[in-house]
Amino acid sequence: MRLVFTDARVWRYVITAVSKIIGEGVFKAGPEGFKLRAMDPSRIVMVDLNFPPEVFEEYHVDEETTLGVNIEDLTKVLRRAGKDDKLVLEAEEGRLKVGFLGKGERIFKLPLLSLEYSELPEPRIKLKARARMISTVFKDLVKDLEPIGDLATFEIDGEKVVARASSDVGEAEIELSMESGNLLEVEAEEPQRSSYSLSYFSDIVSAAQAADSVELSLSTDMPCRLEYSLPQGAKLAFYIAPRVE
Amino acid sequence: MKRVPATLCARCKGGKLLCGLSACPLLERFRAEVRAFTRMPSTTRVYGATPPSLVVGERGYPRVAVMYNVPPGSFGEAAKIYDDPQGWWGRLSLDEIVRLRSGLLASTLRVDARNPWVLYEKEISLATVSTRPVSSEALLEKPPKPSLRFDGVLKPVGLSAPARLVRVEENPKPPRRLEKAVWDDARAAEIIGELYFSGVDYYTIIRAMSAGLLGRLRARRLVPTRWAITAVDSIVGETLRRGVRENPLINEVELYRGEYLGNRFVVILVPAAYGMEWVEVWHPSTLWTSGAREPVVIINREDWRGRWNYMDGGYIAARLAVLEHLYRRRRQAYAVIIREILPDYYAPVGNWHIRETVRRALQGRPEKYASIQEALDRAARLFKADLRGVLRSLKIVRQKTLETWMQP
Repeated sequence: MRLVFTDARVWRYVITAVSKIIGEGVFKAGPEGFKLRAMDPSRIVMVDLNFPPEVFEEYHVDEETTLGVNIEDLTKVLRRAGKDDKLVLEAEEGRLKVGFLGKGERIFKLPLLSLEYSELPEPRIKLKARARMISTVFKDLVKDLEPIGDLATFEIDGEKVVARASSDVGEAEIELSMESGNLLEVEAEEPQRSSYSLSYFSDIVSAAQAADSVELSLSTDMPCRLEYSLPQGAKLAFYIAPRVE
Repeated sequence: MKRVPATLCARCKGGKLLCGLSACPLLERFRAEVRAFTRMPSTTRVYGATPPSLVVGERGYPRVAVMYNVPPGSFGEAAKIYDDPQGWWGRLSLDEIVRLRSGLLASTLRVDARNPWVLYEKEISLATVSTRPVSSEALLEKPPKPSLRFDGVLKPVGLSAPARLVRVEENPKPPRRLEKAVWDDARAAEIIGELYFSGVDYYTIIRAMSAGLLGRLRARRLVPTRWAITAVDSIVGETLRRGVRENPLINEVELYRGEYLGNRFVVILVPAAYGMEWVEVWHPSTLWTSGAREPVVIINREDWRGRWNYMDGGYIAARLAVLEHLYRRRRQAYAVIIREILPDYYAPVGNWHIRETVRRALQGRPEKYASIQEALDRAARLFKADLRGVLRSLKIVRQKTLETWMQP
């Protein structure tokens, strides 16, 4: 297996977010792309990552390969990704070779773990409201809620998104709308409202740096789905289970 | 005068000065009230044995006050009782503890925290971790002033006076394992773990940490006692947590209870991935809530990754006790710890009693329940305050998992 990706920093931000959810993970490289789908041990968050072959500069996978990786260690290595570095991933003899191709080549080797690959199903949900925004808008939204509370409540109707947090510290209310220009798209069959632990958003918001836009979909008292659109059509999505009254 | 909300006080406990004032008005007033307690010797020469221990202050760090506590005129085993949380538990009343501590005399030295060796050379550091109390003498600059100090994390400190000289007169005998650790040039976190697992007394480890006896040799510091207590609780807790979250789950919902010094605890263990919720209920007319009409409720949460909403000395002590229990059983659980502070808890005497009460509660036989709801209904009946609303809003009740939507 040998993969080359143009911008190593995309991987850095994406895997950093993934490392907040799982300590170890199994990637699958096959004809459909490079994938990971996993749930955190408390079964509240799921990550669904898919880099199809065409987003890579080079994609050589002779046979379907599973790669068990210590995500924490991989994150440490990827943190060394610099501007203008390309990322090279190779599997060889029980090791994952992570290379940065920029001015010269830097190579890291990590042991592959013998972990079982199990195909997780995607949650079976139909979400009635969705809103798309520039990724930095989403990041600021999460950062704005953080000083106040650990529970974030989102309300989406056909025109706007209202996010709230409240605690004994105080209250926060952030409104995004088409009108004020901080939403790219919004739609809802009817107004939907749901609450989630804010810390899960804080964990995965770092991936926003790699994405152009973020789409938040939810239904009342149902999981939400956050999808980051990464360069060249790679996909990174998260599901977060709600807290209900 | 500035009005400070009781929820803020209950969260701060005089330690963090969240109100922005330069000293805690509640503590100041309380100290003035109990000053009447103390007997005042007029001498400037003090003999007694230690431990009873060293307290390192945090004011003015790194130029800190080191209080060398001795009970004047008490030696050997008679001196030990002045600082013996595990021996006190369940036997001494709050009055007795306050009275014991007010009989201690703190000879105060000003020391640079970055140079703990000053105390080491005089054997003061080793004296504080000695397994048997050692006699000592202090020459005071002036007769002691009564200043009973109270705190949510520290044990009360009695009289104090600046000292000209503190002399240790016998050879301290630290636990063998600790004696070795003093010359171990390794990170404090590593050594603390080793000492803990080799069975060195928990409170001795805290004193060693505070006296600057642990850590990389070139980076040794005196650590303000309050920080040292929290540091040891979180370091040991973190090591245990890493083990616990790999363990299989418990099978049923379990409920444990304990009470001491007007502090009532219920611990509910739930078969679910590790995490904790800490519910603290202060009745009106306890120290921190004198302005409140209704009980004040504070909630702290920790997620699977071990991150909590805010650092709290009481929480981290109770958490340690729960993690110890799960680690020993080789099981994993989600824990709800409820602490109700009744009006009888008129003086905060440190967080040791929280650690010890929860430890002992978990040694008891649990009541078992088939569902979280049943256990919470039962718990609600065990408290004086009406906690039904609070317990209904717990994360463990309200947080759904994705599995609900993944069933085929």
